[in-house]
Amino acid sequence: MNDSVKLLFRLAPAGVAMALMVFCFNQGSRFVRQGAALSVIDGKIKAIEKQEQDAKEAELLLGMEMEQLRKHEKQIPLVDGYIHLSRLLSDAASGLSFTLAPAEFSTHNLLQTPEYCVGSFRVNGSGEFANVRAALDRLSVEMPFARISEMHLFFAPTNKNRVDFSLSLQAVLRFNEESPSAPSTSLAKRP
Amino acid sequence: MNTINERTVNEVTAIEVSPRYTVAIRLRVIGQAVVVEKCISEGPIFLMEGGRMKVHSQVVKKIVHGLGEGVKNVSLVVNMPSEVSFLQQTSIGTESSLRSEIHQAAQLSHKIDLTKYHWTVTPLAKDLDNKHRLKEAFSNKTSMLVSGARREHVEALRAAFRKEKCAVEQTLFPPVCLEKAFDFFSGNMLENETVVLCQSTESCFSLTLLKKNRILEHHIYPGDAAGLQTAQVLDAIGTLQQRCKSAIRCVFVSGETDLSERISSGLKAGGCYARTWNAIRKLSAAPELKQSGNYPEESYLFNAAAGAAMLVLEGQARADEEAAETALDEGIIAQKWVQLSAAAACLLGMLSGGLFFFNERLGQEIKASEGKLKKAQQTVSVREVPLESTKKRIRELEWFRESRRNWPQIAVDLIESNPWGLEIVQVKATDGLMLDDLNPFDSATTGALKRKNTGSLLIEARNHGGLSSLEALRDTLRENPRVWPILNRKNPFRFLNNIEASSGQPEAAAAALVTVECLLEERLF
Repeated sequence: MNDSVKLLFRLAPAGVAMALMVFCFNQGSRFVRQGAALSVIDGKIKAIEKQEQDAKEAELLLGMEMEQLRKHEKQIPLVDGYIHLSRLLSDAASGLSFTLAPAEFSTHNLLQTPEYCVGSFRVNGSGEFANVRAALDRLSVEMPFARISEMHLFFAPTNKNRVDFSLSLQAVLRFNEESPSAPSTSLAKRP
Repeated sequence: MNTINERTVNEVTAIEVSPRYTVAIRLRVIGQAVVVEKCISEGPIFLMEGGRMKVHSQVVKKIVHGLGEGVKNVSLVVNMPSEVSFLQQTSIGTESSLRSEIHQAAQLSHKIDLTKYHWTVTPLAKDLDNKHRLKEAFSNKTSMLVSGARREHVEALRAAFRKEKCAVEQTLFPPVCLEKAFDFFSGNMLENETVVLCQSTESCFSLTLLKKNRILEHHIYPGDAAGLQTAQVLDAIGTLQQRCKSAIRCVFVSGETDLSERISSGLKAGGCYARTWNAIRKLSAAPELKQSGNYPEESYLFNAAAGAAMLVLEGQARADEEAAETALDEGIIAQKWVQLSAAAACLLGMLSGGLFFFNERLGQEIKASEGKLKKAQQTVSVREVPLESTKKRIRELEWFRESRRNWPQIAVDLIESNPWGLEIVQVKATDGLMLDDLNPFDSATTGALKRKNTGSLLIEARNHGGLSSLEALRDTLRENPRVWPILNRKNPFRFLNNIEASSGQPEAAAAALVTVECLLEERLF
């Protein structure tokens, strides 16, 4: 009994050490696992923070871009821009006589943005060449998102300053003020 | 108290060398029994010749032959008048320091020159239970019995035995043997008592005071055995009793029987409990020895038996010490193992504790991080910004704006350049912006739409200057920085009119109405 107790006392520290070793191993592996998990989570958080930072920068950039877009959109007439254009032409050159046809829309829209469409206006008229030029110059300033797709100038044989003209204007038009994503009129059907 | 291990069998041979006799005794200790196997009694070894002691070689021869051929080693118990013996209190250090210390003590207090003696040192206050206690005894003040005999006598004895092909293993002296014999024979009855061992010889008597089996005092008193008075012994014992300040329980008297009896009875008459040494009665003679009739009177055996007892005890002690050492070694190994295990357990405990602590903290950090991650994920999912679509809208608008050509300015340039002999009638520019052929494998939503503009510039003019005017027009078109870059590189322009050639005129003339078609370079967007 005494010997067995002695043996027990001798073996007890070894047993404790063994148990502690197992516990230590367990804790060590747990430490490694948790460390890996923490690094993964940290990585994710960093990625999200970077994403957030990027988003902030993107927001800032978006603000700038939106400002730019707003500026652009101020110069884009609404889809019923016929009156606007005719007034613009009338104001630009009072000495011109012209006819302005309502906009025609191609089934193939040149722009992919659903908020915009391209309408073609036909202008026929006559007048002083200088007036025509002035009107077109003003048009290019007032409507920077309009282009002349066809221009025909016919100079009078007797008076070289007088000209008959025929123009086809392609102009970007927007569907409404707020630029919603969907077009509101039947004219804006996408291909 | 030493106990005899039953498993050990010890055989010892001791020879007492006395001025009056020589007794050789061979003992065998089997368990608790101590059997006298041989006992030889002869006359004295030393003889006086010309005032000098000389070894009687015949006696040595008889003894060696009497012990038998099997005996190669003997131990001598030298009981000569010339012997010295004193008790020394000293600490036990190294052997050399011990020797020098005892030399100094012998020269200063006992006035003898130990270099002329063969001497032994016996640490008495030691306990051979285990090494630790021995070490403790060595480190403390310890009593030791220093005994010696004339070196020349001892060397002469050794030479005589060597001559008979028998080696002297060790040389002992009666005081030490006495203490050991008492220890051996008295058992544990008197181990806690204060006793006096009294030994009488021819020329002196010695008193040894033992308290709890430790020699406290050892004195040699001069006195002839024949004329020794008990009063003298009693006085000496009384002095010892006063010194040790405790009552002496017994006085054991040893020596020759008649002398012992006389002293013992004298002491008894003086009121002291005394008895003769009867421990030898514990010896049992071998049957053949008893039958031979050579078994001497027991008193003669005393010193030899005491020496033998000492040898037995030494052997026993050595065996005990070895066993103790082995046990101690095992104990030390076990203790070291326990210590190592405990140290490892401590280290592992600390490590585990640390790891556990870190793990707990890590767990909390992970929980916090997971919450943070969840929150961040929710926030991020809410905050998606339509940057790309906005950019796309701006890009498209800017592309549309960039695709413009300044046709009115081109017309003005052509008119103002006024090529010689040409009168521009009409200018027609077509600048068709259209979608390129759709790739059926690309979806429309991926932005696979490619745009191109194609067209032409038609100039109609009246020609008054012939071919040179045409050349001038061509040069004008080439030099105009607005027109030339937009024209087709391979086929920039062509004249659509026929060139008229009239007979009789050496050079061909251009038609009156000239039409130039300028093809535009295709531009992809």
